[in-house]
Amino acid sequence: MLRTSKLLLPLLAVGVVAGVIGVWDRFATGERALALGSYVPWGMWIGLYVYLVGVSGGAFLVAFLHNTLGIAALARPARYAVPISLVTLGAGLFLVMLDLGRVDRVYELFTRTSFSSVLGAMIWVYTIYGVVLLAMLVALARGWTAQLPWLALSGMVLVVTFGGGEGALFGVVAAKSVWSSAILPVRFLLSAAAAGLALVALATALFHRGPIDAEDQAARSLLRRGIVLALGGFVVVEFAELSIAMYSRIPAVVEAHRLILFGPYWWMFWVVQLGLGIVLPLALLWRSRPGSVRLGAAATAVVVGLAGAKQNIVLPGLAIPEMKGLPEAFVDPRLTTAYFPGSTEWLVAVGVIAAAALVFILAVEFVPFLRPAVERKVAQ
Amino acid sequence: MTTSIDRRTFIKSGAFLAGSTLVATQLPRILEAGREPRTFVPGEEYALAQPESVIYSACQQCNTQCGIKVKIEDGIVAKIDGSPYSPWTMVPHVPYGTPVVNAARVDGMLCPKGQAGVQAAYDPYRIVHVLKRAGKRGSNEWVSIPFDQAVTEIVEGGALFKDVPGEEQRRVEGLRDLWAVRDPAVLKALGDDAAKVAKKTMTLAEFKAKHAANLDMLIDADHPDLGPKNDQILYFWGRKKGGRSHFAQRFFGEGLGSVNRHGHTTVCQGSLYFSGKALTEQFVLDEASASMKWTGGAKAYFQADLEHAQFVVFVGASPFEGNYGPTNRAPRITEGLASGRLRYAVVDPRHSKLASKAWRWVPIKPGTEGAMALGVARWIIDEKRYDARYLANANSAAAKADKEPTWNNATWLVKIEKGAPGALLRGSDLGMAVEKRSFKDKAGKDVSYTFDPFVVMKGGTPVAVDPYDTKTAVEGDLLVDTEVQAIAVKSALQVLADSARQRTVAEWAAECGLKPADIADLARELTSYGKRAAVDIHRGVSQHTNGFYNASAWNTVNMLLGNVNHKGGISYASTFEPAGTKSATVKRADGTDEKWTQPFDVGAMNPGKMSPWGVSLIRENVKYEDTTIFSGYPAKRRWYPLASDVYQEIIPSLSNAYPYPIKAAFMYMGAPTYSLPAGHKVIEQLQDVTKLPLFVANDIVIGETSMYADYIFPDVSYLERWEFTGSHPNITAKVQGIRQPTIAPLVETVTVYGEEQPLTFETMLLGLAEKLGLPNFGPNGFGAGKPLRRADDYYLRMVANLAAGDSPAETAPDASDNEIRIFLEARRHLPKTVFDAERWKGIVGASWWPKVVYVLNRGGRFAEAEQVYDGDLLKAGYKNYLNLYQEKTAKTKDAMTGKAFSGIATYVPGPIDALGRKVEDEKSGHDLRLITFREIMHTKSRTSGNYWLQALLPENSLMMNPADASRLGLANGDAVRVRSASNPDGVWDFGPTGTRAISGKLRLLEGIRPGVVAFSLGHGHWAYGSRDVVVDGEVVRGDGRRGTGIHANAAMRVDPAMPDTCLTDPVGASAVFYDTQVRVAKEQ
Amino acid sequence: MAPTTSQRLNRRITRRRALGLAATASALATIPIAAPADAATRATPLPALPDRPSNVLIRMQGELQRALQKPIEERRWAMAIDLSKCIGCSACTIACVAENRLPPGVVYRPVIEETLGTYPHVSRKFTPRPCMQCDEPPCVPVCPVSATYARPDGIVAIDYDACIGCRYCVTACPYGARTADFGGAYSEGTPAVQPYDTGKSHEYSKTRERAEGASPIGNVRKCHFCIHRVEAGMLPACVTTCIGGATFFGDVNDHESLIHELAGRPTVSRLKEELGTKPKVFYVS
Ligand SMILES: Nc1nc2c(c(=O)[nH]1)N[C@H]1C(S)=C(S)[C@@H](COP(=O)(O)OP(=O)(O)OC[C@H]3O[C@@H](n4cnc5c(=O)[nH]c(N)nc54)[C@H](O)[C@@H]3O)O[C@H]1N2
Ligand SMILES: Nc1nc2c(c(=O)[nH]1)N[C@H]1C(S)=C(S)[C@@H](COP(=O)(O)OP(=O)(O)OC[C@H]3O[C@@H](n4cnc5c(=O)[nH]c(N)nc54)[C@H](O)[C@@H]3O)O[C@H]1N2
Ligand code: SF4
Ligand code: SF4
Ligand code: SF4
Ligand code: SF4
Ligand code: SF4
Ligand SMILES: [Mo]
Repeated sequence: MLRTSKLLLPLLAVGVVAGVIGVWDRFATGERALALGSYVPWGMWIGLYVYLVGVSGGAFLVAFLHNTLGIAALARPARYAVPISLVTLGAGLFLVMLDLGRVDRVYELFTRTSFSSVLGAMIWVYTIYGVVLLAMLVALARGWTAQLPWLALSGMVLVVTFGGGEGALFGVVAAKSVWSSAILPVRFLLSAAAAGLALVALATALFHRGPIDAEDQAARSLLRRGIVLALGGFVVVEFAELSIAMYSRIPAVVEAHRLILFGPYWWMFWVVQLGLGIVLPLALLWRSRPGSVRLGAAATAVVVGLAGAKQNIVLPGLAIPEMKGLPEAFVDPRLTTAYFPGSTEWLVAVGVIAAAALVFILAVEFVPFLRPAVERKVAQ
Repeated sequence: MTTSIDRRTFIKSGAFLAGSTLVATQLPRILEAGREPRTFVPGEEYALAQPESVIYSACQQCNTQCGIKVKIEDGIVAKIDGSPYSPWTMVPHVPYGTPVVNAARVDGMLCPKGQAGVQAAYDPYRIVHVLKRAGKRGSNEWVSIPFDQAVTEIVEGGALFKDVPGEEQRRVEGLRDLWAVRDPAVLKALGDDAAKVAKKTMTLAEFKAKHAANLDMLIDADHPDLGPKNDQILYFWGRKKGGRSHFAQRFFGEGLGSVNRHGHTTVCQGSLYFSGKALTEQFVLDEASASMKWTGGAKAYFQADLEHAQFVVFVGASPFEGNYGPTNRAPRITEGLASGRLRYAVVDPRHSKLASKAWRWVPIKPGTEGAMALGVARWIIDEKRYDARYLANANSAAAKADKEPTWNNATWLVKIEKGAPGALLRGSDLGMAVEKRSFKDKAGKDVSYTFDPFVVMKGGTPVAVDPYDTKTAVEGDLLVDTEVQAIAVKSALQVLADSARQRTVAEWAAECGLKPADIADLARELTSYGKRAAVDIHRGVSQHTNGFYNASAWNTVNMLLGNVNHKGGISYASTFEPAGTKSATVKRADGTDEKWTQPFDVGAMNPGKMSPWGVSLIRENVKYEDTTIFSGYPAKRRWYPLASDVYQEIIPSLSNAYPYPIKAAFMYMGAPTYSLPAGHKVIEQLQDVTKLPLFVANDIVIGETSMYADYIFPDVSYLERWEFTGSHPNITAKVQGIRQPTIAPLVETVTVYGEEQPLTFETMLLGLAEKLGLPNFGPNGFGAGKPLRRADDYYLRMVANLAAGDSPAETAPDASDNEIRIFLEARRHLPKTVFDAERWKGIVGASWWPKVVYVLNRGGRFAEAEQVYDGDLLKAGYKNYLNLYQEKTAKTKDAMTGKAFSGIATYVPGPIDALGRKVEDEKSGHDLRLITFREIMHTKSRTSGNYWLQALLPENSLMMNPADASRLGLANGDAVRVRSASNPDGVWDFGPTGTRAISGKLRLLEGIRPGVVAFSLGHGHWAYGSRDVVVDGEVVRGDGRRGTGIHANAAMRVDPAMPDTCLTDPVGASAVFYDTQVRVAKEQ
Repeated sequence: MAPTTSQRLNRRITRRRALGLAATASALATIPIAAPADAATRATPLPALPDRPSNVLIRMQGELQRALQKPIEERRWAMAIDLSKCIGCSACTIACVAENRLPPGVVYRPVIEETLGTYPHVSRKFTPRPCMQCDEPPCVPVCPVSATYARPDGIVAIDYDACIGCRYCVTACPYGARTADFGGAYSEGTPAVQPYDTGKSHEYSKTRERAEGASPIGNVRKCHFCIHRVEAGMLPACVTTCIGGATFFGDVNDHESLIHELAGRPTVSRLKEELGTKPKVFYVS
C-alpha cells in the first residue's frame, strides 16, 4: 500500500464515522436536523451535490478523451477517471437523497417521474449514466476493450446532458433572477470540467507509483492544459456573469451579487472561489511540467475552490427574500434568509466525501484492474 | 448547531399541565365521544362545520369580549372563529332567530389574539393544583398541596410558614378571625352610627357607650368610621366580568362584609371612566339623607358610532391595534373609508396603524391633549359652529321637543366667586320658591325634602330649571356673563368659553407642539357633518396627571357637537340584565296590571347579606374632610372622592397601613407588578410579610404578581368557565355575551359541599365559604332549600334571567327539540363536573330550560341589527342629563393641596406630583418622553405563551425617531437601557430572584414624534413560564421565548411626593403612563 | 438596457427547449389528478344561509355555494384583497395557522409591512400574501413527482402523500408562498406538547393526525384557498376572520359575483404580473 493511502485511510475512516453520526442524526431527528428553512430551502448539501455530480462528469471527460477519442497519453489517468466518476456521482446523489423531506419516498422519483421537471428528468439521466459507469467497470475488469469507446461516448453524451441540466435545474427558476441566466449552464460545464480534470490530476499525483516517466509527463501536461483552459473559460464566463449582473439593475440580482462579493461570506468568493479556486492554481500551473507536489497542490486548490463557487451559486439565489419584508412578517428560525450549515450538515458532508475518497483509495489499492501500474504490466 | 429548535422534552411536574394530566383527563372522554352516535357524516364532510361541534362563547384574549364560536373535535378546541350572532364579530350580525344549524357554517371575524386563544387555554405552564410558597415571597419555590389543606390554613391561620427561614414564629390570622362582625344587623347599626360620628352628629363617646360590646370588632374604636375589622380582608382583581363579579361580591362583600373590594380601573383608563361619571352625575334624591344631591354618575364613557360617523377624531385611541377593540371597530372604520362615508384624524405621538389610513395624523406632544381640546373648543365657540339648539336645552322637556335624547347644563348659571366659577346658581339665591317634595321610605312613611331649582337666563330674565321636568321645556341663553341681583354669574358655556379663551388657537397649538392649522382644520371638519361627527378618546388622553381634565375637555367638544346618542355621533353601552333585578308591569288579558320579574334575583337571594361600610383602604368615593382622620392638608396619602378602583393605591396603602393595616389579601386575575407604572415598587412592597401577612392569588399560571403570593389557587381559562361579558360603548346594539365552558376543565377536581367540581375561582370561594360557614353559600345559600354549592347553581340562574330578558317583550323563544339535541351533543365531551343536563335543567326549572338552551346555543343575547337605530337616533344608550359644568367636581377638594378641582374643562400642564408641583425631569437631562401602547398581537401580561402570536412579534423594542437617535449617537438594533429620575439605574428588582436591566432593542422609525420613545405592552416577562421555578423540589424549566423584549414600566415616574407610588391624576385617579421623561443609552 | 423579466423568462423557455426537455414537459403535463371525493357537485344540500343579504360575508358565501352547484371545471376560485382596507392586523395569518394547524416555520399568509416617508409624513402599507394560485404556476412543472398540480378549479394543490420534500417548488415560487414542514411543534421544549400542535387537521378534506414521520411532515405546504372549507360551503378562514373586511373570495367565472366585480376594478393589480404567472389573487386599492 502506498504511504499516501496509509496516511489517508485512518483520516478518512474518522470522516466516515463522523458521517455515520451525521446520517444517524438526520434520520433520528428528521428533516429538523437541517439548519435550512423555507426562504433558504436548499443548503450546503445541494451545493455539494451539484458540485460532485459536475466533478463526476468532468472526470469522465478524461475517460472519454482516452477511450473514445483515443488520446493515448491519458491512458493512465483514464483508469482513475471511471471510479472517480462513480464515487462522486454516488456521493452527490446520496446527499440529494438525504436532503429530501421524505427520504422514504425516494423511489417515487422513478415510479412517478415528471419529465417536465428538470430534477425528474435528471434522475433518469443520472441513473443511466451510473449504469454506463458500472458497465465500463465491468468492461475494464473483463478487458472488453472493444466496448469501451462507445460506452465512453454514451457516457459523455449523458454527461453533457446533465452538465447542462444542472445549470437548467437552477436556470428554469424564474423566481430567482440571479439564477435565471443563460450563462449559468455554460458556467456549470466549465467549472465541472475544471474540477473533474483537477480531481483526476490529483489522483494521478497522489497515487502514482514508481518514477515519473514520459507517459506520465505527457498525461500531466495534457491535464494541466485542460485545467488551465477550463479555468480560463470559467474566469471569462464568471466575469461576464458578474458584470452583466451588476449592470442589470434588477434589484434582486444586484443584491444577490453584492451579497456574494461583500456580504457576510465575502471570503467565500474572494478567498475560496477566486483565490483558491482560480488564482492559486493558475499561478501554480502557469509553468509547464509541474511536479507531483505542484500539480497536487494546484488540483486540490481547484477542487476545493470550485466547491466553494457552487455554494456561491446556490445560496445567494435563495438569500434574497422573494418579497421584501417577508422574513419579518412571520418570524421563525426557518423563515430567515440567513443560513449557515448545521452540525448534521457538516458531519454528513464530511462523511460522504470521506466515504467517496475511501472507496476510491480502497479500489485503487485492492482492485487490480483499476491500477494504472498494473495495467501497464498487463500491457507489457 | 443541530437546529435552533429544541428536540422534544417532556418535563413532568405534578402541578403543571403536563401531558400526563391532559391525556388523563381527556382520554376517557375522547373514547366516550367516539361511542356517542354521530348524526353527521364523518370523514368527507368537514367535521368543524357541524353544529354539534360548536359551542358559542366569548373571547377574553383582551377585554373586548368578542363573541366566539368554539369548534371542538375529540373533546379539544380545534379552532375558534367569530360568532355570526354577535355584533362584535359580524357586521351586521345574523338574526338572533337563525337556527344553529344554519349558523354552523357561517364564521365571523376575529383578531389574531382571538384566533390564538387555544394557546391560552392549552398553556403548558398552567397550574392545576394549589401551590404554597416554600421559600421567601418571590423566591419561586413552591409545594403543591391538597385543596382542603389550603382552605383550612387560610381559614384557620396559624404558623403557616414555619418552614420558611425567618418566618418560624410568624402567626397568620385566618379568615375566621378576620370575619369579625357576622351579624348584618350589628354591622348596620355600627355603620349608621359611625357615619354620624364622622358627620359630627354623634360624639365618639356616645358611640363608644352605645356600642361598647362591639368596639373590638372595629379597626380603630377611636375612628369608628374607618370600619369593622372585616374591612381588613382585602380582595382585588385585574380583569373580571359579570357573573364572577357577582359571585365574588357575594363572598367578600355580602358574606365576609368587607368594603375593600377593588378593581383595576385606574391602571386601565380610570380618568376616562371618571370623567364620564362626572359628565353623567344626576341631581337626584338621596333617600338616606332625604335631600337632593349629585349622585349616580355612571362609571362609563362614550365612543364614536363608527358605523355611521362621517368624521371622527381619535385621540390617544387605537382601534386597529387595541381599544375595545380591533375586531368590532376596525371593520366599521374600513367600510367607512372604502365607501367614502368616513374620514378621520388621529391625534397620537405615534403613527399607529389607525394613523396609516387617516385623513391626518396629528403627532401631538404627550400630555397636552387637554390643550388641544380647548383649542378646538375655542375655535368652535369663536366661529359659532357649536350645536346651539342642542346646548340650549336646559331640561328634559326641551330635549324632547327637539327629539334630543340628552340635555345639559350649558345654559345654567354658575356663580362666579372671586373671579372663579363655583356653585351653580339656585332659585333660592334669587329668592325663587323652593319646591317641597316627598317620597315614601322603605317603611312606607312619607318623607319630605326640598328641590331648589337651577337657573338659566332667557332673554335676560332668570328662569328656574328642573332638569327632569318633562312638561315645561326650558331653553336658556347660551353665552351669559352678567350679574343677577348683585351675584356675578356666567352660563356654563360662557365658563367654558373663558377657559378655552385663556390662550389663542395658535398658543394652544404651540403648547401641543402642533401647527395652528392642525387645530383649526380639525375643528372645521368636526363641525362640518352635523351630528355625524365625533371625538373618540382613550388611554392616550386619560393616563396623564391631567387625564381627567383632558378627557373632560374632549367630552365637552362632543357636547358642542350635540352628537350624544345620535347615529354617527357618540354611543353608550346597553346590556341585558343577568342578575335578575329587572321587573315590569304587564297587562293581563283582563286589563289589570301584573308585576313581571326576571326569574332569579340572585343578589336578593342572599341569606345573612351584609352591607359593608367603612373608609376603603384606597379612600375611594370619600372626602378626606368628611372623616374623623382629617388632620389638615396635605393628607398622609391621596384621597379619591371622585374615583374608585384605584389599583395603584392598593399595595402602597397597605404597605403604609394607611388608613389602616390589612390582614389578608386575595388577588384575582391581576398582575399589578407588571401592569402598573413603577410596578417594581409593588414588588418591593409585596415582599414584606409584616405589612401583608397573608396573600392569596388566583391565577392560571405562576404570574408576574402571583409569584409573590403565599398561595396560588389554580383557575380555569376563559374557554373553560362562565362569565357575562357586558358591553362597550361602541357596541350600539343591546347585548349580553355569555362565556360558558367549552372544554373539560384542565385543573384538578375537588369536592366542596359534597359536590365534585373543577378547582376554579368559584370553587376556591365555595371551599372557603364551606369552611367558614358563610350563610349565603351552601345547601341553603340562595335561601332555604335553594342550594349554592357550585358555579352552575349561580350562573344557570343568571342565564335564565337573560333568557327572560329585561321585560316580557324580550323573553327568548324555546329551543326546538333539534336545537336541544344539538346542545347536548355539542357538550358530549364535557364531564359531569361542569355539564350535567339534568342538573342544569333542575337549577332553572323545566319551563326556563328550553329558553336557557336557546340562549346558550347562541352565546348570549344580542338585539337585532335592525333594532339599533330609531331614525337618526340610537335606540338604546344614554338618554339623560349631562354636565357641561360639573358642580360636584367643583365642590370637591384635593386632599393633598386642599384646593378645589375645576368644574369646567381646563388644561393643567403636567406632569404634576401629589402636591401639585411640576415634575421637571427634563431639567436633569431626561430628554425623552416615554410612552407605551398596544400591538394587536399582545394583550398585557397574558399572551406571551401564545406562540403563534410570538411569531408576529417575537420581541418588542424601544421605538425612537431617527432624529433623536442621531443626536444620541444610537443606531437601529442597538441594545439600549431606559433610565428615569426615579429609576436612575434602569433596573427591575425582582427580590429573591435577582434583577434585570430595563433594556431592549432600539428600533428607529419615522412614525414617532421626535422627543418621544415608545414600547409596546406584552413583553419583558419575568414569570408566566419565562423563567425556571421549583415545584415540589423539581425544577420546571422556563421557556425563553416567553421572556423576550422590554417592559419599561419600572422606569415610569414614581411620584416625588408619594415615593412608593406612580404619578397619578388627582381627580380621575388614573395611573400615569405617559408623563415620564427618560434617558436612553446604549447598553454597556 | 437590461432584459425584462418576461424576456428572460422566454429566453429560459427556449433554452429548456434547446436542452430537449420541453417536449417531454408538455407531453407529461396532463397527469391524472386525484380530486377529493367531495370535489364534484355536492350530494347533500347545505343548510340555508342566515337571512342577511347586506352582509358581505354572507353574500359571498351564497355565491360560493352557488358555484358549488356547477361542475368543478367550471369553477375558478379567486381572491381579492383590498389594500385600502387592510389594517395589517395579521388575523388572517393566525386564522390560517389555526385552521390548517401549521407548525413553526410554516406560514401560508404572512402580511408584509412597509413604512414609507419621513416624519411627519409617514405611511404604512400592508400586503397579505397568500398563494396566488397562479394560472401559470412555476411551482408545478418543476415538481419531479407531480405531487403539486393544478386542480380543475384552478387551485394549485399539493398531494401530501406523494410529495418527496425536495423543495424544488419552494425555489420556483416567485412569491415565497411555499414553506417546508420540517416537523416540530410550537409547544416543544415546554413541560408538555399541547393539543393545538398535535390535533387533527383537515386540509384537502382529509383528516390527518400530526405524528412524527407522517405527512405533511417532510412535505412542502402552501395556501390552498381552504378548499376543505370551500367545498363544505364555507369561505376561507382568512376571509371570514378579516377584521378589515379586506379579503374577498369567490368564483370569477360567476359574472354576478362580488369577486368578479372586484377583479374587474380599474385599480386592480397582481403581484409580479410581469412574470406571466397569472395570479388569481387580485389586489385592489
Ligand atoms: N406598559 C404598559 N402597561 C400597561 C398598559 C399599557 O398600555 N402599557 N395598559 C394597562 C391596562 S389598560 C390594563 S387594563 C392593565 C391590566 O393589568 P391587570 O389587570 O393587572 O392584568 P392582566 O395583564 O390583564 O392579567 C393579570 C394576570 O392574571 C392572570 N391570569 C390570566 N388569565 C387568567 C385567568 O383566566 N384566571 C385567573 N384567575 N387569572 C388569570 C395572569 O397571571 C395575568 O398575569 O395593564 C396596564 N399596563
Ligand atoms: N391588542 C390589545 N388590545 C387590547 C388590549 C391589549 O392588551 N392588547 N387591552 C384592552 C384594554 S384593557 C384597553 S384599556 C384598551 C386600550 O385601548 P387604547 O387606549 O385605544 O390603546 P393604547 O394602545 O393603550 O393607547 C392608545 C393610543 O395612545 C397613544 N398614546 C400614547 N401616549 C400618548 C399620549 O401621550 N397622547 C396621545 N394623544 N396618545 C398617546 C398610543 O400610541 C396608542 O396608539 O385596549 C383593549 N384592547
Ligand atoms: S378583540 Fe380580539 S382578543 Fe379582544 S376579545 Fe375580540 S377577538 Fe378576543
Ligand atoms: S404563488 Fe407560488 S406556490 Fe402559489 S401557485 Fe403561484 S407559484 Fe405556485
Ligand atoms: S417538495 Fe414536494 S411538491 Fe415540491 S417539488 Fe418537491 S415533491 Fe413536488
Ligand atoms: S385561503 Fe385558507 S389556506 Fe389560504 S391563506 Fe387563507 S386561510 Fe390560509
Ligand atoms: S385580516 Fe384582513 S385586515 Fe387583517 S391583515 Fe389580514 S387582510 Fe389585512
Ligand atoms: Mo385596560
